[in-house]
Amino acid sequence: MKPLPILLLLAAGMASAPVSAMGLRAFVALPLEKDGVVWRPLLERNNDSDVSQLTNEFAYGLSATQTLMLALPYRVEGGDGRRTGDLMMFYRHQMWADDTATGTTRWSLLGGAVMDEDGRLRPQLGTVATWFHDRHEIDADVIGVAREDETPASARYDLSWQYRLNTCACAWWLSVLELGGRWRDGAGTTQQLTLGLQRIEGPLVVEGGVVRDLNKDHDTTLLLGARFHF
Amino acid sequence: MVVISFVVARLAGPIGVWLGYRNAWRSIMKQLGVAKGVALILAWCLAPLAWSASAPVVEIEVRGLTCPFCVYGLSKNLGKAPGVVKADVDLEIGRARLELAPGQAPDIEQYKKIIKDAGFTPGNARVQNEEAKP
Repeated sequence: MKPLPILLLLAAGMASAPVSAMGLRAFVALPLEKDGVVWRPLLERNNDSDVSQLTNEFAYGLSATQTLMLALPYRVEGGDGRRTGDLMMFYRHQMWADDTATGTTRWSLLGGAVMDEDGRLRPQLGTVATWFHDRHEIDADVIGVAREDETPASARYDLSWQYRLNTCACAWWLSVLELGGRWRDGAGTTQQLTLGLQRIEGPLVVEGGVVRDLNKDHDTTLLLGARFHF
Repeated sequence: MVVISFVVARLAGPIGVWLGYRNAWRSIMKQLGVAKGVALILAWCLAPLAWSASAPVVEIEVRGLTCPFCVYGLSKNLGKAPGVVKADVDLEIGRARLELAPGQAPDIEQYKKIIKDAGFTPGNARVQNEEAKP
């Protein structure tokens, strides 16, 4: 059993991608309409540490430029006895947007907190940018979480490229390629590569992928999820 | 003979009245029949005209569109606007198309506000009148 991957999986907001992301693990700056709701269940399976985790993520559009996000991980099997992970709360505010006939470029700030099972809050701050043009989308984010008592500070970055594979007037298929890093004070940075596929049809996305640690323990995590837009 | 004449004379009035009513009734029915026929013919001729009353179609350019998942909310909210029968958002050409109920006056400003509330940028709008389908 490897404690570090388990801790990383349980640290809400670090291993699970926010629901409004169109990348598998990266944040996204694309809008959610006012009063719109998105729910994303995401199952992660780490065979090396024998841990399976289901994270339920929710996003709500306060306005065209403001979004609230919540994520709650739950360990389905494996691990050290803890089931419920830390609750992650995020507020995303769009600072700038440039819409064109073929896409959009947007930049947003992220702020929020991670709440552990004892109710202690650790503030987190970040930024995300999205560039969408024709069949390409690129998302980039950087987020840091403050240290609290014995919980060390942590940070992450993600760079995601999604490419639309088909051009018919039918369900969209996209390939996903992501590079990410997860840093924890005292534990260094784990670089990760993610490959995946998404199928988008109207208000439903079905997606899956593989996350490979490029250094450290070289763990592999499988992802399977869906998104529902209400 | 006198009695017969008396009886005929006494009955002539009522019979005459009855005949009068009968003739009047027949005359009225004849006229109604003609009127009914005319009404039916008019209805048959005018019905297609009623069906082909114009239904406005509004097309609005939308900038910043991305994927079907992201624009789903926009399609849904445009479809809920008063008088909108059908709303489609075409990602390929960057345009929202709204079919309105016959006789419905388009509210361009409201549609543009819905597009902005969805996080996109509305552009030029155009209104066409198309024949409503029966």
